[in-house]
Amino acid sequence: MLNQTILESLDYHDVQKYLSPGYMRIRLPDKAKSTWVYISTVSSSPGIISGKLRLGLRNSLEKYYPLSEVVLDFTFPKSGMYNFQNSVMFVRKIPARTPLITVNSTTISISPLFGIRSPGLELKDQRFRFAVQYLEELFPEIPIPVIYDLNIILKQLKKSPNCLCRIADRDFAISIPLVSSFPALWYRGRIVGKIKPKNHIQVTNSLYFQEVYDKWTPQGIKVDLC
Amino acid sequence: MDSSRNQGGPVLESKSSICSLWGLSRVIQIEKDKQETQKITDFLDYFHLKSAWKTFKASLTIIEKSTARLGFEFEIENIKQHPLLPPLWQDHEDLSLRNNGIEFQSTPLPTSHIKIALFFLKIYLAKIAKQNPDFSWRTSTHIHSNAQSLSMEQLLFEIRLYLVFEPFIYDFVGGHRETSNFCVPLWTTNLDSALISAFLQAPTKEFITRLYQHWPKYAGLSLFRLFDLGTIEFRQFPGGSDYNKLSIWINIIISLYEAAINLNIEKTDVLIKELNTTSQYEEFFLLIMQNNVPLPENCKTLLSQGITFAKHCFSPLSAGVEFPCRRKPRPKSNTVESEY
Repeated sequence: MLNQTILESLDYHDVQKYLSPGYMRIRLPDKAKSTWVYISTVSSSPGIISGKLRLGLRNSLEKYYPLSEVVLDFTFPKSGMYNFQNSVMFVRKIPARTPLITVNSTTISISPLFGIRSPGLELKDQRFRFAVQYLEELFPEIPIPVIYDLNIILKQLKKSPNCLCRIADRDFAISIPLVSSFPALWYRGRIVGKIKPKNHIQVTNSLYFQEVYDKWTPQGIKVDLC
Repeated sequence: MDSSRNQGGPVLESKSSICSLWGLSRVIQIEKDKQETQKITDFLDYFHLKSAWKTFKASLTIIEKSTARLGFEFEIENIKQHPLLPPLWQDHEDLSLRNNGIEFQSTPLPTSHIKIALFFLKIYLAKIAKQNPDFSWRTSTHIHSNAQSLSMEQLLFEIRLYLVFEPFIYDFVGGHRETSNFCVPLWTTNLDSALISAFLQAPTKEFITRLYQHWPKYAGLSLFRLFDLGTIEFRQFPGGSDYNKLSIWINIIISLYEAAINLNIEKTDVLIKELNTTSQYEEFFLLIMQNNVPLPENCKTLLSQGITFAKHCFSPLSAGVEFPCRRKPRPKSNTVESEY
């Protein structure tokens, strides 16, 4: 797949095809850390490899940066669940006919786990200021930190009164359900168990007992079938 | 492991072949194969290539005999002039390539003709070596596997087996193919809902057509050409001339096809669902790949990843779901239930 070395060897027509329009984590020359930015265009004279990126930044500004002065992060967010606001989003790749490597409505699908509408989560060109902000919140770090301590996740849920769901990793999430008294354990978009007191998970969907057991038992959590 | 074969029964729509259901014209012609064999022999004799062919044949892993029929697409860049092509190959322009890229397409090959076709391509590339043909990062090798004679049930079963072996396949092909936009692994895509519907309903002609219509071309396993060429396309293998690795990749595809035809679907589905409980990963690998493919060291890890996604596609999403709408007010009494 495309990386910095390959990118630098490409003609500017190709660079344009692979990078814009879309969102990408880029370390800007005056910054210490990578941030999400919107690449609107790649401009250059024919034959000149080192083009200029026209970037949309979080503070609503558009700036030109020479490609040679920025460091592009080619790590694509992996498929799975991600925390977003008070809920969890499901992120998946779309196998579309596009050479784009950046995050765009044509390359990834972001859907809420509970069908709750997330206002403003648009990855369209004209909304880049908002989308950059949301992507920062959705993918604060790549790879995302993994939490296998039930108490930490439950504390996160309690912390905000409107918080419905938090992730443990890209596969597992824990939510406060409406019907049951116990928090529910989610595995890739379906409820597979209940969180009982004293580090105890009761698996309600027997088909997924092994997955839950393999993931949580090494963390010192008791896992059994309902 | 139980590998009992399918029993004969009344021919239902779901058991009719893809070819007959969609009225495809069969490309499989035994007579044509015989003519091709004669052409190949004549070509080898005329150009004194018999000894080179024998050496090449011996250097490759054995390709298993099968009723499968495969078609190859080799993408190669930097071919400015291409002289007369060898038998079994055609060339086509490919707009996704750069620097005078050409796609070499084989005719639909029976397994007995695959090695000789690869040999012809090898000597052809040696002939134009001065042009420095380039298997760049943009190029890949696609293999079409004939699905015309499969029934709808067998086709869906082959897709299920593919899901189980998908992480193994990406691990085998290596490189950065897993993150490529042109062969996206199914487990990372939003195709799971389509697959769940496909696996949980009785396969009908309309249903398979709908599945095909929603299937994107650039998935690692593509159904895009199912209803014109009658093939399913494996897009994972990178561009390159590692013919030995390619012959193992061919064996993987042939093994999936043979398993779809020969294994009892119901019994194997049960094995898939229970595989990460029984942990018989190596036995399952051998059941499908039949010693044609070397057992990977991390077989358990790879198959358990595949099983996870395959199981996800097997079970209805709505089972046991309690959707949270709003947060439940905390009970005032200090009971066990109030802890959270």
